Amino acid sequence: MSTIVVDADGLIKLGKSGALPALLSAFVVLVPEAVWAEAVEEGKRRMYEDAHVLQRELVDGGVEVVEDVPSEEAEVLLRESTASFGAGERAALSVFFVRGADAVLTDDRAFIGLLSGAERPVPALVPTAAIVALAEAGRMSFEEAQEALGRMEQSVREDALEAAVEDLNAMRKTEPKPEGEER
Amino acid sequence: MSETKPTKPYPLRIPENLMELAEAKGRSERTDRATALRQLLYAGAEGYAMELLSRGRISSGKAAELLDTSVHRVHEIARERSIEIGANAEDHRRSREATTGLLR
Repeated sequence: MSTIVVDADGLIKLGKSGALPALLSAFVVLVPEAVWAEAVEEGKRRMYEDAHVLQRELVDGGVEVVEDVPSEEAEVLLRESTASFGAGERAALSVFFVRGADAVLTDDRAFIGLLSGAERPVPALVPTAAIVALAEAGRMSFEEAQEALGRMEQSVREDALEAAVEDLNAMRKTEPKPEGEER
Repeated sequence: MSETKPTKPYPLRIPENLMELAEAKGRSERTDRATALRQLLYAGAEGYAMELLSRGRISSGKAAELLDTSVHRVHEIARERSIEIGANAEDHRRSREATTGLLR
């Protein structure tokens, strides 16, 4: 099973989509302590219902909350970047390197830029791509994936959402139809 | 993030028109002029932070830290101001390529 590290941005948006339980069943998900503080604790403190739902789903899904550990590779990348990052993104990058994870779930443009610009690029899993991938792998049905993307309408860019819907429709066209069903 | 942020005094010459605006705001909201001025300053800071976020100069976590709020609220502000933040279609495609095989 592949391992992904999440940041608060990606976690909150995927949580809104309702696809988090499917993600948690398909990957080993690592939540750095700073990300937990941003997405869950700070959200709860400021009365965001989403934060309570996130906490419940993360606990039920058995995520590992990981201590924020420094990584030299992450520090170098962050130092050389022209963008500025918060404690959660910094911790997510460190955990990615220290734990040898496979990807980082994020929808943050600055962070995606940092990850893709690294000498050894860090795979970024954006929420729209995560939902399409979960549908492709049979972890969600086509309809569930479609609904999940619909729930993210207010949270993600319109063009990214359109690209995901296109991918999903293309995937459905190539799926083998049950015998006797008209194409 | 949960503690009250420290403040420090800073000498600043404020144009009279802005001072008048702060006084009007203070009167209508029954607060003092200094508080009204801080609120106006914060409103400007919020707009600038969102601009930096949409241009990918700062992350949403950093925006939350700078505005002393949560990432949830940063997403809300972006929606209220109709500012598109997050991955675009190209990022989506790159993500699909970069993560192919993770679920196989």
